[in-house]
Amino acid sequence: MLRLLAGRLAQAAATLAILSFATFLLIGLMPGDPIDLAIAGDPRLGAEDAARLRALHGLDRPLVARYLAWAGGALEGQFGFSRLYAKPVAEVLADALVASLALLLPATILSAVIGVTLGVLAARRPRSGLDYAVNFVAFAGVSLPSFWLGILLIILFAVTLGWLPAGGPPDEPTLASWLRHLALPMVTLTVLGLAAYARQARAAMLEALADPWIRTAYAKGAPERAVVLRHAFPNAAVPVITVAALDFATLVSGALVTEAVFAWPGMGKTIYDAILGNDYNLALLALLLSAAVTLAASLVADLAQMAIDPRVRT
Amino acid sequence: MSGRAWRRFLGHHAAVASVLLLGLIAAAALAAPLIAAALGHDPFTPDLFNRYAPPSPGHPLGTDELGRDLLLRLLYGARVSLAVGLVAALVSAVIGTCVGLAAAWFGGAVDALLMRLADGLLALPSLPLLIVLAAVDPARLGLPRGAMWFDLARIVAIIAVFGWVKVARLARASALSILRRDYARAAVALGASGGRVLWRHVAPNLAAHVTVASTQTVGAVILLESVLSFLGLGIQPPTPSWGNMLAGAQELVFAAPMAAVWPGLMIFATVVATNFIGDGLADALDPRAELRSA
Repeated sequence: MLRLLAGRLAQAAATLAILSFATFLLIGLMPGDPIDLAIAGDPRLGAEDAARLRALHGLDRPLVARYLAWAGGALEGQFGFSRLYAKPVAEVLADALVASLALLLPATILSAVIGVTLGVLAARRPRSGLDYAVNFVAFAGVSLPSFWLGILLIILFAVTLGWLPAGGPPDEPTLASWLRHLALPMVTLTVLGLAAYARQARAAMLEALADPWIRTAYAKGAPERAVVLRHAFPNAAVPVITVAALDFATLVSGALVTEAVFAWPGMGKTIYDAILGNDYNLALLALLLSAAVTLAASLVADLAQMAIDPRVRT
Repeated sequence: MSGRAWRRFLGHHAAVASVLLLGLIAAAALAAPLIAAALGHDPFTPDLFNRYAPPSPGHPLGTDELGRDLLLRLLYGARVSLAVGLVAALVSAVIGTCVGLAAAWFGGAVDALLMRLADGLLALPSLPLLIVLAAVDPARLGLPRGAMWFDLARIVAIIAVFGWVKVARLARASALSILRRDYARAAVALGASGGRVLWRHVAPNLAAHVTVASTQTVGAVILLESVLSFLGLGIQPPTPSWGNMLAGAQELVFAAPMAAVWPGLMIFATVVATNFIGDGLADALDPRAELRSA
């Protein structure tokens, strides 16, 4: 168990190291560099001055040397300043991470609870009206463009009914203001997320309900409720958790679009703004942080799986 | 497909309806210049006296913020979105099949390296990384910038970076099991070259699986293209794509909400249709279904 954990952590560290190098390389291929941005403020500075400034700041060194300089700083906790926010990158990301988690955690919990409930109810009565309805919702959820769902919600609740704001960060630090601004993006993410849970929970429950001990449980006179919840559901929970883990990466991607649509100041929008705004320090660290959160989520899901399913423990 | 597979596919009513719907959209997209000629305007020229015009015989769905006909822009957008979806899914399938076959055939270090790469890509959130890729300046790689075909090729390449993974894992798993069968082992024993064994014996038996998997990815690819174009990193205006039409429409939801409804509806309908077709093909080509119906 400890060995497995150590192995997974080493794997995650290697993934992050490779990812940071790849991103560093790609950022070097984006239009403009810090010196281009710096000399743009003074029309008298020419190509010669730019070359001198590049040499002064070490930007003319080979890529690997520059990457090692960045990585050395990063390992000491020095991530540099953000160009767009004029603050240390770590401070910008701390705020963005809080905003993102405020959106992602409730959306994940809601979509898991609603999705699994729908899936279990559908599996209990295959080919019933409810089953077809759940199947349809699951199918539509996979095919729905997230940003379109967001825009439709804005049209309905912000434009037509005028109940909720069309987007943006909370304007006051009160719970009511947070909830009003979070409501639409959260609904968007929940609808998109619950489709995968419903689909998976339905398939896993159908399989579990076909097991021989279910017949035994019925035969000894257990009520249906107990059979479904006590005998079948624990067996169906394992594949559902696997999907949850795999799906977290999708959720982070979906959150980026949703945050962009609703102008919610989370990680996704920060990454997007940083890349389009040539804010290299911020883009690099934000990308690594969202990858690290995703890897951590999949590790937690694996541990949860081991806690539930004795067969996975080795 | 065998006759029985065809009959099973035709029995999947949702899939058949989806083929008809997609055929209709594709035909309308191909005929877009004819429709433009019949209506008497094109989807590119702004007409500032006719902004946000309501639906009328001349403009069946009305006009957008620059007075361009919405229906025509939707149809021209369909050409871009469908072409990108099909080509990107095809490219992903080809790369994925080659990677999967290579991993299965060479095994050992090659297999481990390719599959760890696939695991790594699956574990990471793809969209932030795709945005980084899309922001790369082609001029720094010595490529031309700004041409329309280049936009298309670039988005196909970006989608393929993540698209090959699922097909590769599937192709590898099937190829490994096929290579253990007697006919494949016999071919190796008779001295057939690696390329010949893979091409003549393994690939044909993979085809059904890969076809189903790639049909099921077409929908996801169309969604991805629309997301990237929506974020301003895919197809660039004035070339219409469903994604960039939505980006323009979102800023104007208060003035013209319907302009935001149509492109999304097209994406939704297309993706639902390709997913149904994927399901239908999966049922039709499943060898176990052959046994059940026999």
